[in-house]
Amino acid sequence: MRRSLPVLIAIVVGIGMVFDLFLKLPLLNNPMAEVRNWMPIMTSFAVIVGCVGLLNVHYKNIQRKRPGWYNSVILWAVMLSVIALGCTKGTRDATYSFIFNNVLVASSTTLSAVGALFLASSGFRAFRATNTNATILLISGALVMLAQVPIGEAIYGQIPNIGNWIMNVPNNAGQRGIMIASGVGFITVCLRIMLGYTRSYLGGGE
Amino acid sequence: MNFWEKMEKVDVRIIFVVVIIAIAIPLVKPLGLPMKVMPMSQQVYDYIEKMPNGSKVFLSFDYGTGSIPELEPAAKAFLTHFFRKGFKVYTMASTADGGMVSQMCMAGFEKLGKVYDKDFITLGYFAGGEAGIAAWSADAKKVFQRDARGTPIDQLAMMKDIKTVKDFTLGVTVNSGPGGYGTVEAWVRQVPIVYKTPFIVAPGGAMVANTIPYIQAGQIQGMIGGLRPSAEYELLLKEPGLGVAAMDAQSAAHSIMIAFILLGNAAYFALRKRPGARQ
Amino acid sequence: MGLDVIISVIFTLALFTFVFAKDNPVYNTAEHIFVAVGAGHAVVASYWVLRNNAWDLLVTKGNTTVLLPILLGLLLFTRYIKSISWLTRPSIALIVACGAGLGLRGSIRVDFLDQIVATFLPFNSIDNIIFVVGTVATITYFFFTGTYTRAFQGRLKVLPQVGQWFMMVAFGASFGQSVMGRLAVLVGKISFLLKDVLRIGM
Repeated sequence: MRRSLPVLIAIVVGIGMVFDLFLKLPLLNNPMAEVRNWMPIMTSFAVIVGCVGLLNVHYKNIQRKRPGWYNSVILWAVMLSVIALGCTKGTRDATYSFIFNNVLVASSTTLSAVGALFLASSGFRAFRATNTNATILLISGALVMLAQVPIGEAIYGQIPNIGNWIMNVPNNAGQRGIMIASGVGFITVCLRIMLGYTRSYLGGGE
Repeated sequence: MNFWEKMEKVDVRIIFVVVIIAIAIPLVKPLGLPMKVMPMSQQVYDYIEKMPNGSKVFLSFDYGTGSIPELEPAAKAFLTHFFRKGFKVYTMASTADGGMVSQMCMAGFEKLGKVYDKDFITLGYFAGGEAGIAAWSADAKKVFQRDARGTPIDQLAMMKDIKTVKDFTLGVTVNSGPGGYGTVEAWVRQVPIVYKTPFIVAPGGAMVANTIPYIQAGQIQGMIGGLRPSAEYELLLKEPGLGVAAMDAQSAAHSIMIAFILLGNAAYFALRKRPGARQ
Repeated sequence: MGLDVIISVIFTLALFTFVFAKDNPVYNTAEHIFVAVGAGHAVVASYWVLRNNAWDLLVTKGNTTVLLPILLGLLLFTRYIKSISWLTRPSIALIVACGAGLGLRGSIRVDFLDQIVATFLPFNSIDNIIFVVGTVATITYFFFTGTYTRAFQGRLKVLPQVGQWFMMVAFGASFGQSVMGRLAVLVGKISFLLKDVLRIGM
């Protein structure tokens, strides 16, 4: 029952959701539309559960006085303050917007920028044309990179057209082949979930 | 140690400093390199230009705060074009960050004289990813009971005639890619294929290459993929903005990146040829 | 320089310290604050979705159909109580099945049928020939079942090899585009530091 009921739900809802697109039957269409409308509510709860998990991890850090536990105290304080402010005053509040713009936006763009710096250094240290495949990858990447900026055009006027051709012909062919093959894989995984063969989402235990 | 051995062992922090200086120089002294408009950007511009004035369009801010410098130029260019054509614009977001970003972006247009619930509305964040997209497409008022400003959806004049996504003439997603929310694939699976609503995407860099098959298959009407196409779109609109301003620095950044790859490979091949060197 | 720029600069420089001194206290603290604000914002956004789509419907409009998703959502919290954590399974099964069903019904056309149809181009140009050959060759790379593997290791082994080359071009193009995206963010950040903080350039 603890495993068979969820699997039954998965089979009924999964198959119902597929046939909902092809059959005009109110007995099928209305419940499936209702289930789709539930998803924003259920996934919102899932997000909150995830954040509770984050607080739990940092609570254990504080309890066991692990190195850097003071950062976990800061995390708790800031997170609860942001939640209290946002839930009471709303996201259009001036203070909330201030925190969002000047802490979250500044921090996340900086972390992305730091990633870009490491990308540049990995270009120097790791991207080696060691065999035919790697050489093709590097040449294609370099031409596409040059085609994306005005300096490519300044070096040789046809570079943007070459980059465009690479994107539209060989890249398109390769991506389509990957898409069709991975599409088959995706369809297989979905079918396995809907037919009850894959049950890994239930987790361990009884 | 010879030159190539020194190259191989160079401190990574020196590389970082070189990259930062290389990007900073054209930001201080712009080069003004000319740029031609490529067919993909022209295709999107022409498609929107041919749409009748007053059309209803929706734009979804499906990116996080980390992608703002990359994707905001595209979002603003689309919105500029939409307002120029007198479209009724409906904005939303499938990411929590995107909900705030859409509010900030639209506040800028409101300062320029666009009127809320006459020219545009901000529906805000919808949860659920692909399921949320499917639910919204089937019944727009079920997913948004209120807009981002807290107004009940039934009280909004612009939502009066909206039932499903078929009531829109065009949909756009400005999308930073996979992350459990409304990805490009999710939008394509749920909107243009099911409801035949024309769709344009503005994916982040990582998603551009694998969005091209959708265009060639006719599933979507076009793509503004990355910073250069956004800059080209700004040029077509004759309103150079963030995209155009960044292109010189972007040129320097790409040149440095390619130079590093060539240098690294030169060092690798030079050291590989040494007698007794490991292969 | 207003307070907003000062706060942005503090966080920008604090997180940039990771580049020059990995795992330092300044970076760690700034990172924890960033995570706290990000996660807090996710909770706030989810709260307002629940408030508008569930609570308002239930309390203001008396719509009791939202009781079931609310209950299923609340059951997700039982994952933290080991003795009754199995109660999360129906909710997770519903979310996963809904996603699988929606994904499958769209994917058959989007990723499979339409893509195959669009591959059949007339052989009236070099580009079309390259495109069709490339797509077919790439697909042959993914054949792993016995009969086809033997054929593609034998006389037809050139096909998967050509497919691999086309995939390398595709990965190279993806790499080039990703680099552009990442460097655009770095350009934006340096532009902020120069323009808004040091007030030079642009």
